[in-house]
Amino acid sequence: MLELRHVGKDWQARELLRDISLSVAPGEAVAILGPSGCGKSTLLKVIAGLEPPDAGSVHWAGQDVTRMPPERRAFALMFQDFALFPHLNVQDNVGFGLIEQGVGKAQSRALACDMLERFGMGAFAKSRVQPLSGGEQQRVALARALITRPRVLLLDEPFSALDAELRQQLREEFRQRIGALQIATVWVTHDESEARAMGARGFRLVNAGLQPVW
Amino acid sequence: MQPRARWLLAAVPLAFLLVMLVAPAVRLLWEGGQLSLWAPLQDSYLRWRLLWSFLQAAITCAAALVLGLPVAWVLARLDFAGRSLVLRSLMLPFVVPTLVAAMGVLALCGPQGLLARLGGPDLQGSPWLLLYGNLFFNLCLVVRAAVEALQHVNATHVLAARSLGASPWRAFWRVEWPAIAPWLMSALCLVFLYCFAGFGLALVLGGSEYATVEVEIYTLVAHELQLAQAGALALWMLALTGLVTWAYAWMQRRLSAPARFDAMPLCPPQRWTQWLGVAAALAVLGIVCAAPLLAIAWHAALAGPAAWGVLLEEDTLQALWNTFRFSALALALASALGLLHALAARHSLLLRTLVFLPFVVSPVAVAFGLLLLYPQWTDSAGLLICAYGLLAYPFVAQSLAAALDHMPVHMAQAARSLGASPVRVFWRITLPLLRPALRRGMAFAAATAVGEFAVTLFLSRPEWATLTTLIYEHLGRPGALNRDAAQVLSCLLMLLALVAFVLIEWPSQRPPAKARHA
Repeated sequence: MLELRHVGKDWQARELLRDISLSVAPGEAVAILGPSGCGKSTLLKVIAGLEPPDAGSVHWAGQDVTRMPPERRAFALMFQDFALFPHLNVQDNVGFGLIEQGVGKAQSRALACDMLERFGMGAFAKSRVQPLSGGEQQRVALARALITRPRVLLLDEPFSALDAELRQQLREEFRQRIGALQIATVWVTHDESEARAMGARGFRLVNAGLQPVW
Repeated sequence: MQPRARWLLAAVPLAFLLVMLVAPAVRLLWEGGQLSLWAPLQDSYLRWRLLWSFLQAAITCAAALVLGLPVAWVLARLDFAGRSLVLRSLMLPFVVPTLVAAMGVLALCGPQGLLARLGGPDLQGSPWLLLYGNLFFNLCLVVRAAVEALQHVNATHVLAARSLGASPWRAFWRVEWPAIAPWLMSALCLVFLYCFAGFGLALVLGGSEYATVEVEIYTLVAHELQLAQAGALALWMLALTGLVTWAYAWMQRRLSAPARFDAMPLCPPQRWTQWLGVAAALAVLGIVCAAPLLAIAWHAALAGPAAWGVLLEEDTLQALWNTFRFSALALALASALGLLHALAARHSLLLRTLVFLPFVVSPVAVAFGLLLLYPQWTDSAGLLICAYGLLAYPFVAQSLAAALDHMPVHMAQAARSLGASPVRVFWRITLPLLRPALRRGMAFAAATAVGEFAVTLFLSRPEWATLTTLIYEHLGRPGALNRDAAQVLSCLLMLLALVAFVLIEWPSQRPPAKARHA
């Protein structure tokens, strides 16, 4: 189980997160709602280990991982701007994390192609990432985040650039995968109806604190 | 990056700067005895040197802006056949050695030049030669910066201005100009720096009346041994160039934030005025940047077999070999130092400014200081190669620093969250993304090493003569044959710089990224 205990974080003399406590069980999804600039993305970075908290701690399965470097946590973060690597093609982007896990290049490519097929992106495996549309890039980023079977999945507005039909399709795909792979998921969104449709617990980040919404 | 790690990375380049630049410069000042800082201002001759150096740099800046901005607008907004080739070729003047550019201007406008032969004026002895040479190098710099700036103008801002009633011209002045002005100011700082501290061009084209401060320092040090006066002039230069460099580094940092934007679309020229604009832009680039190089080729082609025979002389072959091996070693040194300095200088204005020290401190003063400080090393080519590395490495560091600024921080963070350690992130993400900038910086560094002139005049020994020193030697000898031989050698050096440029830079060039539409 992922646990945040009394996490606090300031940025440029402004209190972004104050006394945040939260637990997310494997297979469970938690949605964080809130206006732009309220600290939602910072919260994800603190969980991922990319930003150190100024107070409190992050735990996984009872172990304090606050000082553990991000690459050892197996918490995959999908960025709002996707952060696809422009020097790698689509399949190598998706297989990036597998290579870091020691999987051979050929096998990682094969697994990446499988994953891309499931996201309807099989035809783009060898394409460069820059010419892809926003929706296509988003699917590549989701595939890249999921392929390493992370213990925790952190999603920053994951469906924002998708059209309604694809959003519905991926939402379903996500719900199944998170449940099947028992991934604890925290995701930041503006869309309350989407968060409810995913069956997630919902919180709102207001004045640096988390308030349960449903 | 943690401050400690940053300073650890910076330790090697900073130690190199200390040993190769700061210590020799201080040694020269110390050798000069009691300095009178105000002496250059009290002496009318030196005062004119300072004033002229400032004036010619300022005039070049103004001319480069007036000519360069319209050319850049045409290249950034109109899509015509050959546009991509023109954009790529804008890099060429940067890699042309100073002496070759000077020879090109002479072949065009000097005595016996193309212009004089066609009945035009001989511009020798006038300030126009030096200003032309300055523009040859710097027009492309301003055009490149302006094209990049115009490509970063947000189309939605311009469209909003148009929808609010602004004409295209008003939209340019009220929306586009404020957006591109910082980029242009930054480029003009560099132009000023190159012109004010220029040596090779001013030595060959300035004559006795229009030489710059740097040439005067060379004369005072090498011919008159007036070290105190040279030191005072060097300090004045340092103060002014240091100020401009700091302004440049500050502006570069302001421009560094990566941003997402909708770029203005490229349109094919349709109206006759647009076609006229394209023709005028190409004519300006042709006259300022291509004509001197073509004039060298023309002059060399007309030279007799006796002049071409210089290519087979033993001295030339030795100089060619020296140029090649010294440049290759200097390039390796410059690349390593540049990479370390750029990585350390990220988010540090101080370290970023220090990258420019080799541009700011007079290379003539440094070279003479090296002779004074390390007399035991003067019989080793290592000192010469280190000096080349010193002058070349800021190009690598600057190119890499700019690329690092534009690299979204999320790239490295995404890689870390996918399981890559910091070392693996550097190897798999940072380095591949830096590769185009590294190649570009190396192209400039290679060109600097191949065409280096100021330091070579001091530190070189007869057996280490490079192509530049050989050209200068021929220029110093009387007779048309020597002049022709110098043009033939310039042609060879130009070819060498072009090959280095094509090998290093060309494969990394890609057309500018188009705006991404979701």
